Order: sequence, then structure tokens, then C-alpha cells
Amino acid sequence: MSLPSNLVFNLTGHEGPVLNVRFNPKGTYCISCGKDRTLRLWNPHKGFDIKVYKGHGYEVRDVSVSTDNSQMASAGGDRQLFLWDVASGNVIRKFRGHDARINTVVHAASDEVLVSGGHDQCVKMWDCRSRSIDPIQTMRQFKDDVTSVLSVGPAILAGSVDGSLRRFDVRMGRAYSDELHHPIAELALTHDGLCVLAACLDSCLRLLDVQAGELLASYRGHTHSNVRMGCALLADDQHVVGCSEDGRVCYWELVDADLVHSFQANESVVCGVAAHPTESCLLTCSVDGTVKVWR
Amino acid sequence: MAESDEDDYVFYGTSLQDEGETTAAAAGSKKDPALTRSLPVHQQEVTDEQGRRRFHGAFTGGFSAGYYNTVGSKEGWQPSSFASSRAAPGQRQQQSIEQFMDEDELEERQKKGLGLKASYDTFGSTAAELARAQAAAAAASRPSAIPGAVPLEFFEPVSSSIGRQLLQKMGWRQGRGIGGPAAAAAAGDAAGSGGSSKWGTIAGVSIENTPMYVLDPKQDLHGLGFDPFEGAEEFRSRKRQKVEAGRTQAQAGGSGAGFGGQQQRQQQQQRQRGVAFGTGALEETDTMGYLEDYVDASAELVARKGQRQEVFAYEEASESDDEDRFNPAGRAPAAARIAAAQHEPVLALTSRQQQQQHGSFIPNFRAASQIVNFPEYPPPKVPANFVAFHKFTPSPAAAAAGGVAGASAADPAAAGFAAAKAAAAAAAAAVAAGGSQAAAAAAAAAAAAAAAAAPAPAPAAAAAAELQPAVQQDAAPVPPPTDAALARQIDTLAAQVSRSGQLVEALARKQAQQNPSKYQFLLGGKGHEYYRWRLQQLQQQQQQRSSAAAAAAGVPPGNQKAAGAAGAPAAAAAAAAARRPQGPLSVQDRMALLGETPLPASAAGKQQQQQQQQQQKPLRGSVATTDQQRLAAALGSAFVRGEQQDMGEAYQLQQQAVAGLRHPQQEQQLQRAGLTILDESAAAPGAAAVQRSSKPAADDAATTAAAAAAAAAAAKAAQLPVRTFEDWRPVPLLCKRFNVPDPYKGKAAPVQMPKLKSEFLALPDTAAAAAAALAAAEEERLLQDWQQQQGLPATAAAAPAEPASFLDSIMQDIAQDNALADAAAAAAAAAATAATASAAAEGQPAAADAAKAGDAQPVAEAAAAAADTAVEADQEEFDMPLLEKPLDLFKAIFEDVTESEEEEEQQQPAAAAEGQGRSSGLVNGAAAAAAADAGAEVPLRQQQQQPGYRGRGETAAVGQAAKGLADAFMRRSTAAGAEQQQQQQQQQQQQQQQQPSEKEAILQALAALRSKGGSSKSSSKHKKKHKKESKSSSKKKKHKKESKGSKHKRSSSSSKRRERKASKREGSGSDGSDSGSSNDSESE
Repeated sequence: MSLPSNLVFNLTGHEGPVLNVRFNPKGTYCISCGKDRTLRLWNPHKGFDIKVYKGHGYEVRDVSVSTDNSQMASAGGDRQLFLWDVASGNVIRKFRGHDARINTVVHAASDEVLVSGGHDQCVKMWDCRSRSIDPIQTMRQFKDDVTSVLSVGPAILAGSVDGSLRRFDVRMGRAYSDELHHPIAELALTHDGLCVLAACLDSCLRLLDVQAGELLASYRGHTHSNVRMGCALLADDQHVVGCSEDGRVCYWELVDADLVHSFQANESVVCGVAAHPTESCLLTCSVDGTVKVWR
Repeated sequence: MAESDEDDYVFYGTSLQDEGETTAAAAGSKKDPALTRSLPVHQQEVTDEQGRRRFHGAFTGGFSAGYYNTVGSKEGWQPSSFASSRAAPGQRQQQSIEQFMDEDELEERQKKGLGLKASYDTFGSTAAELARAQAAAAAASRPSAIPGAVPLEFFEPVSSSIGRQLLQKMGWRQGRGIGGPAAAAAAGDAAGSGGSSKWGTIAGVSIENTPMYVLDPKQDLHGLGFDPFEGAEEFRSRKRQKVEAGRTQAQAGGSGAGFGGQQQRQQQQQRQRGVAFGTGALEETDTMGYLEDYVDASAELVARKGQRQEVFAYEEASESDDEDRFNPAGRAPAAARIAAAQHEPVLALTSRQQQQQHGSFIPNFRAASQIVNFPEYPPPKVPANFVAFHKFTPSPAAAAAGGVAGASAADPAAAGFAAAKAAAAAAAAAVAAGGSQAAAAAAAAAAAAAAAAAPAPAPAAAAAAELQPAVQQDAAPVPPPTDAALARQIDTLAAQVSRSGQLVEALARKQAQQNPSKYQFLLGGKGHEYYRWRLQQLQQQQQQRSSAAAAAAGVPPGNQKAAGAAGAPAAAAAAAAARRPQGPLSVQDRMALLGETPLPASAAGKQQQQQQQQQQKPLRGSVATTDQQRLAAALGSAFVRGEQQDMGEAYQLQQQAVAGLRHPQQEQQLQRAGLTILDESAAAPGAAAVQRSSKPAADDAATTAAAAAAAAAAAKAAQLPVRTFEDWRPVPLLCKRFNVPDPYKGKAAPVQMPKLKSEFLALPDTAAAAAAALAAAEEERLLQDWQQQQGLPATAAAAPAEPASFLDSIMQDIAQDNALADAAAAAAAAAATAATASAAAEGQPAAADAAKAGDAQPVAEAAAAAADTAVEADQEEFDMPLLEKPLDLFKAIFEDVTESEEEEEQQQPAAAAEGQGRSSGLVNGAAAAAAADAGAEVPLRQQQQQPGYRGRGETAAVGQAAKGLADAFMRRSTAAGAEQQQQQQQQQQQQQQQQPSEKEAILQALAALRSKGGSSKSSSKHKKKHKKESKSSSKKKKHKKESKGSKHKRSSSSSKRRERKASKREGSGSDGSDSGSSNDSESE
């Protein structure tokens, strides 16, 4: 699989920095969110925008699309989780309960549960099926911002600025904490769900075994020390994608941990990166309000 | 005749046609109403349905023009149908006056007034008039929030008329005046400037740009129509000038410089910032970069204002200027006034001559013509002895102590007295507070302070001398004078003086001085020594008594000792204060003072009160030390030390460091770029932040930074991830959603700390102690109740807590019963026991009857019947409130006999209770089963155990104990059933058998009595169950009970007789045999 480094489309429309971009589970569409309080749905393969979702009162920091593409959840500075109907653009529900801005949101348990983590140093789980707007459960073990949450089978992974990567195993009833000693900005899961990639703020990407918590590899060669930037794994799980604060996007060989390729994606910071689940396609979003499609 | 008559008449008008004729003629030609209507009015004829002309005669209106008898329609005036406005509340049903008007009236009404057509309505006066009329109509029909007519200013001409177009073609522009050069000159004259027109005489519309009166956009925060200058006309012009100046400036800027002008305006308006609604409670006003998302409100406001100004700048002025409204006298043309205001400098620089002319060099000021001298008053003189701090009232003990401590530094001599007073107050407070240790300690502290402050406690002693005369502490007893009358007089006076104080003595002394025969001992006469000694003795006694009272009120002896050590006078004062009642007397106090004894009912209430107080005492008193420690530990984590609560910069930086934040100023650049700033680590920025902190907190920061650096180094050294894990309990709903089984299903939930603040403190140890005290109190109460019921002699009541004496009394009862059973008559010391015994004895005949009937009933039934009757007799005698309990017992016994499975069921709670704690009566119940024929000693032991068992305070278990007893009983009876042969023999030999069964009956009755205190739910439940399960057996028993009931009634009177007999014989009861039997039972 080739490393995507050719700019195919430059999706413009956001009126401010684009904070995150996500593919839908199938990889047919992508959704971006940004400081202009909007979410935008794009067709990255054809390069046009489809819909704009307005309703947030503050910046939107993360978005997650359900498996059936019918709903998506977004969250940001307004401390609420918005559940959207993708087709109509209506807000189905709002979940309130976070005490500070929400950094991350993800669907879990076959879209029945939403998991969110935020500046209030906790991870909250929300029920999409019942009408309750209160969180099902709150995990308060964190000592700092929760920057990223992932759903791995019957477990929830959460990375925090306090340097801990925590796994809440629902089946076992255990909470594992892997102390990485460095703040975690973003987590990405391999497609087999066995390993997790953590973008740490010591300019290092770390690959860990989810179950055992072993450090499998660490990837260096970029600068990442201050801002929240994304990381990803390419569709074949052979390469690791990371962003550098100088606007580069770097590729590492997964096993050898060599920096195999890097290209300048933007003049300044690339805020978020998303890899297509099956194809060799990469999305980056950046401060200048553009979403770029690379192949 | 008739003909001549007819000739005389003169006829006017046309005669009526014959009715029949018309009918025939018009029958076929019935007119179409539409045709009739098309004719002119005078030709229209109304006919009826047969085509005849209708005639109603003079009284009914002649030929009607309506629809038959009606107007216009078949229904006549049709009332408008009612339409509820409920469905459409906005729409009002309208009834216009036109609906009620004739045609001519309508014509009159709709006749147009003379007016201009819209196209010729040059200045829109007609349009404005129309609009005004419409608005007035609308306002009349629809009530508005603002009453009154709509101001004229609100209407503007909308259309561009021909005249206007013409004027514009001629060069006129909106905002300019109309008129020739003459008019311009006139305007110039009026303005006083006399300037020539800039536009010259090019057009007929030549007046210089009329400074129009522009509608003021509302720029202030006053209410609509509010005029702050209403009472101050002089400020109005000033304000308007300012506004005008600003506007002209803005206009100039807007038209000319464009951006620059706008900037200027912005600067001008910058001050308006802050005139906005505040941020909401939920808005974060921190520096985390939220603000950048807001549009700069003030800038926007400014922009909008500028726009508005430009818009309004070209609008026409209204004629009714508010200035004119308020100032009708000054009707000078507005233009002139404005021009004058513009040209005249507000603060013009005046020439030196001008200034000197006014006698002042300060512009716009002039020298005063006269000097005003205000009278001067000197400040009040402070008294020399004024102390410049507040003296606290001595009522709160602590305050008094503090005040003394403060005063002692200033004035040691006064401090002693004050301390003595404070001690008294403190003691009083201690008494009032029911003996709180703090108050007592405060008293001690105050006394100590007095001692420390005044090296020579003379003032204190002097203060105390008021209460206590100066006498020797250890005076040798003085013998009373030989004269008995004098001795009595001395005693009386001494008692009075000791009780009422020195005032009485002074009175007596006065009497003694006046009357040489009276109270001479006071003046050093005979008996003086004795009087002094006696008085001292009495006072000492009283002092002891009051100090004892103080001790009873809760002053710990140690403290009192301390108080005594600190200063005897202070203690004396405290005692005196304690002696005096503080505040209004309570009923109890008054009764105690008057020596009344409470009524029995109120005594019981008082007892209860005392018990409650006892129960409350451990709760209110000291908290258990373990609890104290726990609380301290818990609160230690919640509260921080004072110095750490310093909200200085360093602290805030620390806090931010903890929360993973960066100092906002530094990161502003990146924030602008829209990035989320994260920290290197939680610790390192903390160090950095603290290092950035200001100098005053340098040492603190340095240590923190060092620690943080060390932590960071340690973290760096250990690069590998470290895994830890802990138990985490997912919520069941979460497990359900994840479709996994709940790993913690069935496991006890962890103790959840309350989320919100709690007003209750968990003090388990204290609670346990309190519960124990409660249980003890309950036990005591039950014991006392029992004793009261039993009418036990006072000796037993004197030591109620002594179980030995209690048991002795029981055993005595039983022994007596034995003896009396031998004599075939019950005899007991107490009435209650006698009653029980008599009932038991009464049970004998019943059993005997049953035996006599020859039904071959099992002995168990007979025994139970005896128990039953005993209990019933008991009820008769004492009228106990709980009727159900014995019957319950009875049933429990019987149904267990019939069903052996129930037996096991009943054993189970017994076993459970056994497991619960210490040796309970139920163990003995089981033991009773084992030793079936053991006789009375097992229940006896049960009795022995019961006080201890009660001590646990589990009243619910009492009922179970009763059941256990019943169980034991039942077992015994089943055993008896097994040994039926033997028992049949016993039946034959009634006399021999009576004795043990009687004993059992008594004991059972006792047990029933005791179990009344705590009726348990479980027994009633059992009762229900048994009822269901064995109806047939219960039926049988009912039948038997009924048969026994009659017997019992008959025998109850005889039992009373017997009882009396027994009480007579009581004195001659043989004690030797009793004690022997009791000893036997004990040894067994």
C-alpha cells in the first residue's frame, strides 16, 4: 500500500481552525469539526461538501459517527454531547453532565453507549437507548484532561494528560492503568484492536499492547510537545501516521519504527488526521480551516 | 237614508281593491322576488305567498317592505352566530358601526374629505394624516402596551410625490430647506451668522443645508420616555450640544475619511464598553481562550451605531421637538438655535481683559463678592478615663474569660474583680448549658486568669466577701449557749443569713442596735462565737450542696478542683451563681423549691423524661475517641491549612499546574491559532509555573519546583510504561449495553460516600455506646415495670439492677406456689404472683375436668389449657393491654404439637438467635427440649438468663424467647405424649402431677408477662401461618376453648376467694420448705 502523500482535494468551507476530522466507519464520507462551531460533512473521494451542522455554541472538538451512519455525536466547548441525526441535521439529544469542555467522544457498545472525556478530568458514559440524559457512569480516576477515548470490544480506553492510558474492562470489572510518563494527546487503535497507538507530548508515538500493556514500539522523529494533534494507523496496519508541529505528516514502519516518509501537509500545525479504514487515503485538518485529502 | 249618508262622505285616496278579486287575479301571477327587487323602490310591492299585497294597517306599519312580517330575510334580523374566541384567542370578533348603518348614513360616513392624492402629496401630510387616523383606529381597537396616541415622529411619508420629484430635479436634496434667497437671508439673520449661502442662487431651493433635527436614536439606558433633564433645563442644551458635536464629527468622518473616521468613532465609543449584560453564571470567564469566540461586542455596537447615525442623518426632522415641548417660550427656529450652539465655543478662551473684568484669572470663574464664614465648633472632649475598646457583656462565659484576659493586661487590679465576676458568669453558663465541659473549663480558666492577673487576690476576696463573711476556714466547734431560746434564735438567724445573705444580718444588727434585748449576739454579746461558728457551718454546708449540684450538672470534679485551686472565692462565687436560678423557673424547679411531690402520672412522665435524658446523654456528650480520630482524619483531607489557602499568584499558578493548564498570557499566541494547548506533563509545568511566580512566594516555589523536578527526573528515568490495575465496578446498565455479564453481580456494592454534603456525621462507636446505654435503660425500665406489676417489696425495688435479688424473689414465689399447691390453694406474697398462682391453681380443676370427662386427652393439652386459663386469669386481674400475646403463645404450642415440621421451623430462628450473640433464652429452650421432664428448673434458668439477654436491648428477640419457651414447653408435652402410659397414671394421681404442671404454668405466665414488653412480629406471622396450615386442629381447639371458657368464668370468682385466703395465710407460709425447694431447683 502506498503512503498517501499526494494532495487530491482541498476541502474548504470552515471559517476557522478545523480541530478534528473523522471518517465514517465505512470510509465513504468524512466529517470535520472546528472552531467555527460547525460540523461539516464531506465526500472526500469526490471533494465536495454535503451538509453543515450548526447548533454548537462553542468550538467542536470531536465527532464520532455511528456504525450505521445514521447518527453522530459531537462535543466541544459547550460541555454537552450533541447527538445528531445525520440525514436531517437535527439534534436528537443533548447530554449534559460534563463540568468543562469535552475533548473527545466515541461510540461504544454497538452504538448504544457514548463515551466522552473532557477537561473535567473524567470519562463519562452515556446511554443512547434510554431517555436518560444523565451519564450511566463516570470514571474519575484521571488527574488531568482526558484527551482521547476509544472503544475496544467490551472495554474503554482513555488517554489523559496525566500520562496514563487507562482501560476500563467492563467484562472483567477492572480498570487498568498504564503509566506512560508523558501526556497523551491522542490514541489510535490498530484495525485488529490488539494494539493502541498513543501520541505522547514528548515527541514520541508509543505503541502498546492493549491487553498486556507492554510497550511494543516508540516512534520518534517529529516534534510534538504542546498541542493536541492526531495520530492514526494506515488501513493495512503497516504504517503509523503521526503529525509534527511544523506541519509535516510522518509515516513510520510499524514494526521497525523507522521514519519512512514525511511530507509537508500544511504550513502550520495539522490538528487532526484520519486514515481511511480500507484504502490508502489520509485526511488532515489544520488551523487554516482546510481539510485535505491525500492519496 | 243610507244613500244620503253615503253622499255626505268625502273619500280621499284610492279605495281598497276587493280582497277576493285580488286573490283571484294574483293567484296565478305570483311575483318573483328577484323581479320585484329590480324595480324602483316606489314600484315595489310586497305580496304574500298567494300573491296578495300585504296590508298591516296603520298600527302595524302599512304595507310592509320586508320579508313578510320581517325585515329582509325570513329570520328577520339575524343575530350573529356566537363564535367562541377560545379557539382563536387572537382574533376578536369585530362589529363595525357600518353594520348598523343605513345606506345614507353610510354614504355620509364614507364621503371622503378633501385631500391630496398620493401622487401630489409632496410633503406627505395627507399620507401622514391618513396613517395617523389608521393608527388611531388601530390603537382604539387593539389595546397597546403604551397608552395614549402614537407619537407623530413615528410616521413618515412613504411615497415620493410629484412635488418632491420636482424639487429634486431642481436640485433640492433631502434635508435642505426650501425657499429663495430671501428665505435664506431670513434664516441667516435668525441664526445671527449672516453668512451667505454656499449654494448661492442657483436654484429656487437655496437655503443652506438645514441643520435638521435628527431623531435621536436611543443611546442611553433610560426607560422609554424618561427624561433625566426634566427638572434641569440648563443641562439639556449642554447635553444636546455634546450629542450634536459628536454627530457632526461622525458625519464628517463617515462621509469623508471613511475608515479613519470610523476609527475615530470607535475611540470615541470605546468608553461604552461594559454597557452590556453580564456574563451568565455558567459562562467561563477564565482565560482559556473562550473569549476569542465572541464577536467583539463593543466593536459591533459601535459599528451598528455608526450605521444608524448615518441612516438617521438623512432623515427628516420632526416638527415637534422635545425641546419645544419643554420650552414653549423659546420658539426660535430650531435651525437657528443649533447653528448658534455650534458656532459658540463652549469653553472659549477669554482675553485677559475679559478675565480681569470678572476679577479672576481662572477662566469661567469669577471672584466672589462676599466671603462666607462658617461657624466652627470644637470636637467633643474625650473623657480622661475613656477606654477605647469595647467591653463585652459577661453573659457568655468564654467572652467573659477573654474579656478578663484582655483586661488583665491593662488593669491588673480591676482584673481580679472582673475575673471573679467572669467565673461566676461562667459557672452560671455551665449550669444553664446543662454542664457542658467547655463552660466549666472556661470557668476554671477564668479563675486561673484571675489568679494570674491579680497577684494579691484581695479584690476577688472582697468581691466574694459580699457572699461570704471573712471567717476562719477550720473553726473548732463551739458549744451552743446554755440558754435554749437563745440557741434557737441563733440557729434561726444563722440559717436565714446563710440562706438569704448578709442583708438579713445587717437588718438584725440594726434591730439589735435599736433594741438591746434582741440579737445581742450579733454585737458580740452572749452566743456570738456560737453564732459565727454556726453561720460558717451552715454556709459551708450550703456551699457543698451547691457545688454538688454543679457537679451533678456536669462540671467534672477535676475541673472543679482546678477551679478550687485557682481561687476559692471564685468557686464560691460560682457556687452562689449556681444557687441562684438563671432565667425563669421551670415547673420542676418550682415544685422542687416548694417541696411538692409530683402526681403518679406526671411522675411516670418524669421518669420517661429522665430516661430520655439518659438516652440523650451519651449522644449529646462526648464523642467516642475513635470517632473523633476518624472525623479528624476525614476532615483533614477536606480542609487545608490556612497558609495554603492564600489565593495569591503562586497559589493560582500551582492550581493551574495541577489542572494541567498553562499560563494564559504565554500561550496566547498559540491559542489565537486555534490550537489546544496541552502540557508537557502535569508536574513539569507546575515547576515552570511556580518558577514563574512572583518573588514573595519564592521559597515556597523553590521547594515545589525542586520536588517537581525530582519527580520529573524520576519519571524520565522510568520510561517503560507501568501497569497497575484496580477493581472497577461497571454499572449493571453498562454491562447490559455492552452485552456482557455483570462481573460484580451478587457482590455487595461498595459503601458509597454521599455525593453531596451531609448534615449527619457517622459516629459508629459513639452510636454503639449510645445503643448500649439505651439497651441498659430499656432493661432497667422493663425490670421496673415488672416489679411494679408484681408489687414487689421495696427492698427488691431498691436494687432493681440486681438480678440476684430479682431471681430470689421469683424463686420465693415459686417455692410459695409449691407449698400452696400442696395445700390445694394458691398463696403468694405479691398480688400478681398470687393471681398467677391462683390461675394456675384454677388450671388444675380445668385439667381435672378434662381428665374426668374421660376423653383420654393428652396431658399436653391439659397443661396448655392450664396455661391458657392462667394467662386469661392474668388478664382479668391486671387488665393488660396486650390481649393477643398469650393466645398466640397458646396456638404456637398447639400447632407445634400437631405438626412436627413446624417444630423444626421454630427451631431455626432459635438457632439463628443463638448464633447472633451471647447465651440467650433460646438456648435454654433447646435445653428444655433435651431435658423434657426436668421440671421447673429450666424455665427458671431461663429467667436467670433473661436479664442478661435483655441487656442486648433487642426487644424483638423477646418475642422469640417466648416462642422458644413455648417450644420447650411443646417438646416437653410431646415427650409427655410419648410417655403416655406414665402420664395416664399421673392423670389418675392428679395431686402428684399438679405440682410440676403448676410450676410450668406459673413460669409460662411469667414468660408471657415478660414477653409482653416486646411483642414480636414473627410470632404473629407464625400465628397466621399456623392458622392457614392447620385449620382443622385449630377448630378442635376452639371448641375446647369454648367449653373451657364457661368453666373458667365460673371458677374466676372462686379463684379470687382463694387469693384472699392465700394472702391471709401468707404470713404463716413455711419458709424452710420453700428455700429447700428453691435450693433444689438451683442445684439442678
